[in-house]
Amino acid sequence: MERLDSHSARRIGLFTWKGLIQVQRAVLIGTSAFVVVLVFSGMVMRYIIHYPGMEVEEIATLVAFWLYFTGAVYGSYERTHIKADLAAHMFKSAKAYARVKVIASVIVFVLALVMTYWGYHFFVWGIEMRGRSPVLLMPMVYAQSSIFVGAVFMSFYFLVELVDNIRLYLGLAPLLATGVEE
Amino acid sequence: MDVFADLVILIGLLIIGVPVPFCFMAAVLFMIAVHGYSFEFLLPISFYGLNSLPLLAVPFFIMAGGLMSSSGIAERLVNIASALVGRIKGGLGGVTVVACAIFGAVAGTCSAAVAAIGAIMIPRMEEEGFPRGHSTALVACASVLGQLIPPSVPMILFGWVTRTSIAACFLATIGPGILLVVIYSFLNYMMCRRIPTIKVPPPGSLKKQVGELGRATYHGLFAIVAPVMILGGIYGGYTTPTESATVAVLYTIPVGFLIYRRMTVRDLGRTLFSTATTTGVVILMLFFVMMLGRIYTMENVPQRLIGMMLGISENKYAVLLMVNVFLILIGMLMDDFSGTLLAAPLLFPLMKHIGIHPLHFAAIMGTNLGLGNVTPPCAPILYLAGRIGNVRFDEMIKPALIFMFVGCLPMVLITTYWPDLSLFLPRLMGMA
Repeated sequence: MERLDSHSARRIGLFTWKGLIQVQRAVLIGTSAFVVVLVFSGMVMRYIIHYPGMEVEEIATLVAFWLYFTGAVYGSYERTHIKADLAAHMFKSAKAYARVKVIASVIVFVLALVMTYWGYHFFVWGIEMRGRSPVLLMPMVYAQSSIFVGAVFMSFYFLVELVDNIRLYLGLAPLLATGVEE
Repeated sequence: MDVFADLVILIGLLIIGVPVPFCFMAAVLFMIAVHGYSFEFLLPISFYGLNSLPLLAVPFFIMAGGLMSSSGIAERLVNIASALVGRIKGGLGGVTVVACAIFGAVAGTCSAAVAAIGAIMIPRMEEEGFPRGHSTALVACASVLGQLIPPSVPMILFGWVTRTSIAACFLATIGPGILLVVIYSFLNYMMCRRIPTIKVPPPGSLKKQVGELGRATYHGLFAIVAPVMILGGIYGGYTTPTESATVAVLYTIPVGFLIYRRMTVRDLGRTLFSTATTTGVVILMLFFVMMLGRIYTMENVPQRLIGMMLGISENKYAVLLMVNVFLILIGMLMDDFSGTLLAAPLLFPLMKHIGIHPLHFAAIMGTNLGLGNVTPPCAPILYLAGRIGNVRFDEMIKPALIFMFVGCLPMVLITTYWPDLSLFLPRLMGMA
C-alpha cells in the first residue's frame, strides 16, 4: 500500500512538473504572438487610419513583462541562463568541479529567494499604490506581478538544480524529469 | 575600493558558474549592503525601465533570426552567396563569410548566424575537402558579422542604455562589418592555398556563372526581400526598428509555410518558445543591470573611472587602447549582451570626456565584444559552433586563433583609430 502511494505521488509529481512546462510554453508562444501582432497592428493603424495607436503599444509593453519573466523561468528550467562557467576548465577533478557546482547552485538559489522577497514587496506595493497606465488606465500590478511570479518559479527550478548537483556530488543519479534530461 | 570589491564579487561568481543575471544581482546586493540603498527604490527603476516599446525590438529580432533559419530563407541566402563567390579554391569559405554578412541583415545575433549558416555550410565545406576544424572556426568567427551588419541586438541594448539613436548605432557597425568580410575572405583564401585536400571547383564560363547567379537569385527572391524590407523600412523612415522587426517576423512565417514550404507548425512553436526563452534570459540581466547602473551613477563611479584612466594617461589614443584592452578582457569573461550592459554605461561618460563620438564608441564596443564572443575562456559562439560542427575544441582553436588575431583584431584596431570607418554612413544619412 505504501509502495502504491509513493508510486501515485511520483506520478502526480511528474504530471504537475510536465503540466507546468506545457503551461510555460503556452504562455511563451501566446505572449510572443500576441505582442508581435499588437505592435504590427499599431503600425497598420498609424498608416491606414492615421490613428496613433498608443493604447495598442501600452498593452504590448505590459504583456511583454509576462513574456520576459516566463522566458527567464523557462531558462531556469532548461538551465540555459547565460553562464561563463570557467570552473569547468579550471578544475580537472570531477569531484572538485561538482563541489563548485553545488556552491554556485546554493548561491543562485539564495539570490532567487531574495528576488522572490523583493518581487513580493513590489507586488504588494503595486496593489497598495494602485498605479495605472497613462493611456488605458490599466492597473500596473498586472505587469508588476510577473516579477513576483517569475521569481517564485525560478527559485523552484534553481532548488531542483541544487538538489541535482548535490546528488551528483554524492555520486547519485540526478532527479528524473529535469530540464537537462529532456 | 567598494567598486573594486563589487567587480571582484561579480567576476568571482561568473567564474564559478553562477548565471550572469544573478552575478549582477549579487553585485547590487553588495552595493545595497555597503551604501544602504533600498531595494524598494531600485525595483521601480528597473520595472519602468523595461516598460519600453523600443526594447521590444530585442525579442522580435531574436525571433526573426530563429524563424529565418527554420523557414529556409537562410539556405536561399547561402545559395546566392555561393553563386557569387563559390568558384575559386576555398571559395566556399568566402561563401560562408558573405552568407554570414547577408544573414546579419535579417538577424540580430551571432548565435542565430552560427546556427543557421553553420548547419548548412559546415557539411558542404567538408564535402569540398575543408578540414572540419577550419570550417567550424571560420563559421564561428564570421558569425560576428551577424551582429555587425544591422539589425543588431547588442546595438539595440547599447542605444537603449546610452540613449543613442538605435538606427544610427546600426549604421555605425556596417563599415567595420564590410572590412571584416574583406579581411576574412582574403585570410581564408590564403589559408586554403596551404590545404591540399580542398577541391578546386571546375572553371565555368562567365555566361554559366551569370546564369547560376540568376537562378539562385530567382529562387531566393523572397529571401532577398527580407533584408531590403527591414533596413528599407528603418532608413526610409517608414518604421521604427521595433516595427521593422515585427514585419520581419510576420513576413517570414508565410514565406516559410507557403513559398519555401520548409516550416511546420511544430517548428514555429518551437522557435517561438526558444527565442522567447533567450529574450527572458537577456531581459532578466537587463533588470539587474539597471539597478546596478543607478547605484554606480549615484556613487559617481563613471566619474571615478574617468579620473583613474586619465590619471594613467591623458593621451586620447592611450585611453582608447586601455578601453580596448578592458573591453577585450570583458569579452573574454562574458558574452556580448552582458558586456554591453556592463561596459556601456561605465565607459560612455569617459568616451564623451575625451571627445569620442557616441556612434564611434558604439562601433568600438560592438567590434570588441564581437571578438570577445569567440575569445576563450568564455567563448559562447566558439563553443556553439563546435557543437554544431561536432568538432573538438583543440581541432578548431588553431584556425580560430588565426581568424581572431590576424583577422578580427586588426579590424577592431582600425575601427578604434579610424573614426570615419564607423561615422561615414551615419553622417551620410544625416544621423551623426
